[in-house]
Amino acid sequence: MRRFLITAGVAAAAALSGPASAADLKMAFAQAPTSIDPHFHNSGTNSALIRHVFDPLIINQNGLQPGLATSWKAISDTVWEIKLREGVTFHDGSPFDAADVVFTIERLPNVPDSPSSYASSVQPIKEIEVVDSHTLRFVTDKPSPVLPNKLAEFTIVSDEVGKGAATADYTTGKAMVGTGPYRFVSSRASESYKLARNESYWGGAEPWETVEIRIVESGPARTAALLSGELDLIERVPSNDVPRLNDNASTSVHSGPTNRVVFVSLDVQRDAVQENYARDGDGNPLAKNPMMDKRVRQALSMAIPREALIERALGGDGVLSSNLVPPGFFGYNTDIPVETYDPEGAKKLIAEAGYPDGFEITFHASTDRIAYAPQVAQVLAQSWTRIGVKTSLETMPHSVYIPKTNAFEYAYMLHSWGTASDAGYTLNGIAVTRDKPNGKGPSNRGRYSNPDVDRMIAEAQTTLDTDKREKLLHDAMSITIGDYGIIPLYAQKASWGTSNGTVYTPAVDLMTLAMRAKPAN
Amino acid sequence: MLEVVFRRLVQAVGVVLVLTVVSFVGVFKIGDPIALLAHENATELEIEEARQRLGLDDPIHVQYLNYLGRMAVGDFGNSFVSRRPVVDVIAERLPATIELTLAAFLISVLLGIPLGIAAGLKPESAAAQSIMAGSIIGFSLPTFWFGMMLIMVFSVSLGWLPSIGRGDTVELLGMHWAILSADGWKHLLMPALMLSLTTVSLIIRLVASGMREILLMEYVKFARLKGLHEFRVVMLHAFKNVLIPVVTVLGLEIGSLLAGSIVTETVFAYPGVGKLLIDSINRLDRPVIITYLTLIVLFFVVINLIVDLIYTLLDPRARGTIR
Amino acid sequence: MSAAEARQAGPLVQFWGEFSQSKLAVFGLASTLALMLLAAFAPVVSPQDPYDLAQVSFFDGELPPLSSGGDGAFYLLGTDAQGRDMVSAVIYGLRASFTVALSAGALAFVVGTTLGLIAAYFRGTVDSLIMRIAEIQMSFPTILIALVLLAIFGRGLDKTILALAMVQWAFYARTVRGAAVVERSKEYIQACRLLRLPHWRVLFWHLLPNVCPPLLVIAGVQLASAITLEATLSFLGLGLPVTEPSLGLLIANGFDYLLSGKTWISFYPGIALLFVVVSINLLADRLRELSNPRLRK
Repeated sequence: MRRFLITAGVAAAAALSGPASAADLKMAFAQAPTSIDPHFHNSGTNSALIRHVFDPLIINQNGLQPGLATSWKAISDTVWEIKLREGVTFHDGSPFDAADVVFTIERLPNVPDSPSSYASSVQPIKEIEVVDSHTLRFVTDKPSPVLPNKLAEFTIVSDEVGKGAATADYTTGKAMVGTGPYRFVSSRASESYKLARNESYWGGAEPWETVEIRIVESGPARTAALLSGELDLIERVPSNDVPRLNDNASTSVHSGPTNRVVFVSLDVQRDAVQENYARDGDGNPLAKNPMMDKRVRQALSMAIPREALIERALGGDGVLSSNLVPPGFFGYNTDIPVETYDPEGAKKLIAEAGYPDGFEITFHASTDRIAYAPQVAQVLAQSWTRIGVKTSLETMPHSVYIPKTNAFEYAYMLHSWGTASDAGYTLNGIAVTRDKPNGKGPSNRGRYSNPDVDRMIAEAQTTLDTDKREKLLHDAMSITIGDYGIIPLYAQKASWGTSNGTVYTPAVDLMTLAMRAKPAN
Repeated sequence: MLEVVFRRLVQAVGVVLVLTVVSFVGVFKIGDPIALLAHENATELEIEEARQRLGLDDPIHVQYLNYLGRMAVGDFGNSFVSRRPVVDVIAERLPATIELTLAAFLISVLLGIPLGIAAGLKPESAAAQSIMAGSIIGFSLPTFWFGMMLIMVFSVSLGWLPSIGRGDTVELLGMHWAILSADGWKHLLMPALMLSLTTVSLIIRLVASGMREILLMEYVKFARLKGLHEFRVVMLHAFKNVLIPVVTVLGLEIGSLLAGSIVTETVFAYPGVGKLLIDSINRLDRPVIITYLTLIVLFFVVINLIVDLIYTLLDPRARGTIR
Repeated sequence: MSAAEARQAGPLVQFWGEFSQSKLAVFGLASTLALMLLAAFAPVVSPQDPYDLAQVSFFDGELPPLSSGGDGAFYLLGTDAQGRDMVSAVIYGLRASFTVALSAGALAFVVGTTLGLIAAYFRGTVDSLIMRIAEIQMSFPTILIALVLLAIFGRGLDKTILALAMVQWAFYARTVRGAAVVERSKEYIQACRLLRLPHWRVLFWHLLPNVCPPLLVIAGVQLASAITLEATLSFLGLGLPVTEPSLGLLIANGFDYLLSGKTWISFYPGIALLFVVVSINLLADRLRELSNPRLRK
C-alpha cells in the first residue's frame, strides 16, 4: 500500500511539473539495430535497443549489479548458484521464474540464421540444475570466474511467449514481451522504434512515459537535430560539434570513458617483410621485417605524442591508457607508465637497430569502425615520418579490412578492442598466441606470442580467487606491454548530447539507454 | 508492338542475368560479410557456423544457382544483415524515394519549361543570356556540393529548413508518406531541389534550343507575319514541336532522377532506397544489392519502352524505327 | 604569318575564327588549359606537398583562411582536419581529378573508337552486337553504372579509372560508328577495299582521321562528366582512397565540418570543382554548336 502511494505521488508530481511532452524522450542511435530479436545478433546497438524491453540476469554497470538475479555465488569450484528475483512479471502479466532462464539459455546457441550469436556467453555452462522456481545452479567443466560477467551479456525472454517464436515474431513485435522498464510499441526498421513505460517495473517506473529511438547515422545530422529541438538525446556527438553544443544555451554534452582501447598492432611473427610494407628509400622491400627488433617497436611507441593526438585528432574524446584495457577495469595495471613522447630517443633507437637513415612502411587502417580512425592514422603516420620511418597510409572500409587482417595480409595496423569483462577477456582476444580451434587470440592480428602470457591468461581464466587472478592479469599485461608487439594509444571516450530538459549519465559499454537519461528537474 | 515488348523483356532478362552473375562474384571478391557481422570475440567455429547458416559455405556457383532458382519464383531472399525478406526491406524505403523523385520531377517541369521558352524566344536578351548561363552552371555544378551549400545556407546559417531525414509521416495504404504532413514537406524541399538541378538545366537547354530552331522555320515565321498573337504562335505551333524531344527526355530523366536520388539521399540522410543501396554496398549485403539492381533494370526497361511508345504516338515519322 | 602559312593552316584558322566568336568559349578554353597546367605542375606551384607527411602538421589542423601555422606557414584558404594547406590540397585535388578523368577518357576513347570503327566497317552481326551492348548500357544513367561497377570492383584509383572508362566507351563507339558509316560509303574507302589493304590499315589510317571532329566534341563533354562523376563517386565513399584526395573527396571530408561552421574545408574545393567543370563545358558547348550546322550562324 505504501509503495502504491509513493508511486502515485511521483506520478502526480510528474503530471504537475510540466506539459505532457516533458515525459517523452526522443533519442537518436547512430546505427540501425540489425534485429530486435534479443538473441539474434550480438552487437552493441542491438543490445542497447533490447535492454529497454528485456532485462539481463546481471547488470554490468559500474561493476556487476543485480538484475533479474539477486545474488550469484560460486558454491564449489565448478558450480555457480543464482538466486532469481521474486515477484517479477513479464509485460503480459505472466510471472518470471527459473523456466524462463532455462529456456533462454537453451535458445541462445540455436537461433536460426544468426550471423553472430550469444552462444559464447553460455558456453562455459555444461549443465543447469533447477533447485526451485527461483534458484538455479550452473555447472561448468572448469572453474569459471567470469561466468557472472557472461551472464550480464544477454537478456531473458519469456518461455511461454518464446516457445515456437521465430526471429520474425520479434520483428513484428508479437514476441517482444520482456520484463524490462519499457514495453515495445511499434517499429519501422532502421528508422524509428517506439516504446512506452512499464508501469509495474520491478525497479520502479521510469520517468519517461514514452521513448522514441530514431536512427540518424550521420554525425553532423544528429547535432543539427539536437540543436533544432527535434531530439532530446543523441549519442556519438562528433568531437568538432562538442564546443558548439556546449556553447549553445539549450544543449549540453555529457562525456565518459568507454571500454574500448585503440592500439597499433605490429607483425611480430614473420621474419620476411609482408608484400613491400617495409622498404628502403628506393621502394625495395627490406631484407628483414624491421618490427622483429624490439627497439624499432619501442621507437614507434615513443614517437607518438599521445596527448596531442587525443587533443587534435579526437578533439579530446580520449583518455591516456598505458594498458590494453581502459583505466579502472579489472586487471588494469597502474604500475605500467604511459609511454613518454620522445622523438629524439626514438630516432636513436631506430639508428641502433641498424637503420640510421630510417626506412619506409605502409600502415593499414579501416575508416568506419573506430571513431576518427582516418585522423588518428594520419597523426601516427606524421609522427613516425618525423623520426625517419616514412609512413604511407592505406585506408579502406571495414568490410574490406577485416577479412584481410584476419588472413594476415597486412603487417602494421590500427585496431581497437572493447572489453566486456576484464583484462583477461582482452588479452585472450588480442594478445594470447593464436589458436583458432580453441578460440584463443581470435583477434591477435600481429600474431604476438609469449608463452608466459599464454600461461598466465589460461590460469587466470580458471582462478576463482580474485586477488590471485588480478595478480596474474597485472603480470600478463605488464609483459605484453613491455614486448611492444601491441602498442596501446588511448582509451576512447564517448559523448552524448542532450537538450536542457535532460541529463544523461554515460556508461563504459557505450550503450545509449533511456534508463540513463533523467529529466533535468 | 507486341514484338517490341517481347524483345525488350528478353533484353531485360539478359541484363539481369549478367548483372547477377557479376555482382554475385564481385561482391564476394571485395570482402566477407560475416567478418563484419561477427562479434569481435567470435571463435573460428562460431564464424564457420554463421557462414553455414547464411548458406555461404557452398561453392559460389551452387550459391548462385540456388539464388537464381529462388529468384525465378519471386523469392529474393533475406538480407544478410537483418535476415528480413529483402522485398520488405526495399518496400519500406520505397515511398521516400518515390516522393523525392516525383517532387524533383515536378520542379524540373515547372521551372525548366517556362524558363526554356523564355530563353528561346528572345535569345539575345539579357534575361535569356542569364538563364542560359545559369543552366550551364546548373549543369556543371556537382549536385552533392549544391546540396551541401543548400544545407549551409538554409539550415546552418538561416535555420529555416531541417537538414536531415524525412520528418513526420502519415500512414496510407500500409505505407508511410511524408508528403501528407507539413513537416514532411519541409524536409523534402531541399533534397528535391538538389535532385532536380541537373534536370532543370537540361530541360531549359533543350526547350530553348528547340524554340530557337523552330522559330527560324518558315511556317512559324509565316504565322508571325500573319500577325497572329505572339503567345498563340508560341503555344500552338512552336511549343507543340518542341514537346516531342522534351517528352522523350523527361521520360528518361525519371530514370536519371531515380539514380540521382542515391546521391541526394546520402547528402540529406534521407531514408530511401538509394541510401539503402549505399549502406548495403558498405555492408556487403549481397541480396539487397542484387534485388535493388534487378528492380531498377526492370524499371528502366519499362520506362524506355513507354518513352518509345509515346514518341511513336507523337511523331508518326518514328514509327517502325523502335528496336 | 605569311600567306603560305595561312593557306596551309587554312581550316584551323577558319575554325579558330568561328570558335573565337564566343568570348565565353575562349574563356573556357583558356581556363581549361590553365587548370591543366596548374594540375600538371602541382608540385612546383603548391606551397606545400599535402601528401608529404613530413610537411603536414596536425597541430595546424582546422585553421580558418588567412591564418598562420605554428612554424610560421601562412594558410590563405585555411587548413583541413589533418593540417593540410587547403590551397595545396585543392591544387593536388585538381591533379587527382584530372588524372582520373583524362586516363579514363583516353581508355574509353581507344576502346570506344576501335569498337565503333569495327562496327561500322564490318557491319552485320559484329555491328549489331557491339551497338546493342552500347545501346543497352546507354539506357542507364552513368552514375548508376559506375556505382555498380565500383561496388563490384572495390575502391581505388585504378578501379575508378576502369569504371569510368567502362561507362564512357559507349558514347565514343556510337559517335564513331555514326560518322564512319557515312565515310565508309565514300569512294576513297571503297578504293581501299578494292586495293585489298589490310583491315587495320583502312580502319586506322583512312577511316579514323575522317571521323575525328565529332570525337572532339564527345571528348570535351565526357571529360567534364568524368570529373563530376569521379567527384560524386568519391563523395559516396566509393572512389579514390582518402589518402590522396581528389576534389570530390576533399568536399566529402569537409562535409563533416560543415554544420560546425568550418565551411572552408568543403567550400573552396567545391568552387574549384565548379570552375573546372564550367570551363570544360563552355568549351565543349561551343564545339558542339560549331559541329551542328543547324545552329551555326
